[in-house]
Amino acid sequence: MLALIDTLRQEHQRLRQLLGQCEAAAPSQLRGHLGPLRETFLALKSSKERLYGEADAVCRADGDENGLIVLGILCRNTLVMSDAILSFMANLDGIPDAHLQPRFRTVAQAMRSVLDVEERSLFPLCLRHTAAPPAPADARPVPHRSQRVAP
Amino acid sequence: MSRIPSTMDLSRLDSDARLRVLDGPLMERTPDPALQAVVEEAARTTDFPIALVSLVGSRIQFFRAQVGLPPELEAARATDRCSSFCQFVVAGERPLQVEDAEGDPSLPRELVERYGIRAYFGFPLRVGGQTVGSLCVIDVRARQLAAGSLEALARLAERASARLESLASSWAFASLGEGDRAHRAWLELVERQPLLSLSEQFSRGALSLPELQRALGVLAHLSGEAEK
Repeated sequence: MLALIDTLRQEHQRLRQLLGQCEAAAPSQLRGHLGPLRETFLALKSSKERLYGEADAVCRADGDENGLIVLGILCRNTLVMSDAILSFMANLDGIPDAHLQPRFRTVAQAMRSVLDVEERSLFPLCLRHTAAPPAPADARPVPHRSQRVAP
Repeated sequence: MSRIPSTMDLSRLDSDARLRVLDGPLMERTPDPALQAVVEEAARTTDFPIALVSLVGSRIQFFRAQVGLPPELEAARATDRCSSFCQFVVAGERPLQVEDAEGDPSLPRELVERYGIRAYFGFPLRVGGQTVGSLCVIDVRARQLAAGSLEALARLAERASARLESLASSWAFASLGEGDRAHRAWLELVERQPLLSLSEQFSRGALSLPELQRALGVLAHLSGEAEK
């Protein structure tokens, strides 16, 4: 599972690069950049489904009921959103160039949110169930606001 | 008090012409100061704790502007359409007044049971000749509104409609002739955004697990439908 998370982190980086290229593209060129983005996102989704399966198994094995609830909710929500993103990207033909760029901004924001949720919550949850060294500070789950100490 | 007629035709909620209006800046989550001013004035004028500009979509009601929502609904900015009271304002194309939802079996129960909603007063919002949503005020106590407050709400709804019309015209949705499939795919993506927003806020520690679960309770239809 550790190796899979490392791979996913690299793929997230790659996806962020592609997102940046799409956002920098002129409206008339954007469509051409979306093919590689979709392919990368699709491959990433497949890797994540594998990770979710493995995470579910270790949570069950460790009796982590709370973890299973969180995993179930976050996996469902991110996968549901990923499906909607892919469906949008498979239906670009009818979209005029003038609409594509503003629509893409919504898609890019959604993709970044998916990556963010996974890095902040799902990866740390998986790592808690391995003998891995502590996750980097930016990957640790943030405590709920009621548990934070005021500076 | 208004009761929802059992004969009310909800199919008009799904009319293509109506859903096509829900596009571009209308469905953006970026705050709009003009709409925010409307909901703040609506809450102040009526002394109700919650006021919303709610746009009723294909699967959800989307809160384009809001004041007074609990943190998880503020994060989601939506509930299932089928749980909403605003759907009846849109389907009926007229105001809805609910003084006490507790004893009204014609209303959906999710918001009453999970959030204790009792009073609801909503006025139609119209864009491009279509009824797209409701300006509403909500309270967890049974309430009545004086005629003067109802008139003020009606005027505020006209102001909100004018602002929504202006946002929609900047998008020029009708003139560009985008295909229906493309629009539906985009609307589906936008309407699932509340699930992701909730997950994001939970991941950032802004929502507890019980808050997340409570909000998912009023998005159960969206969540379940999306999973199929």
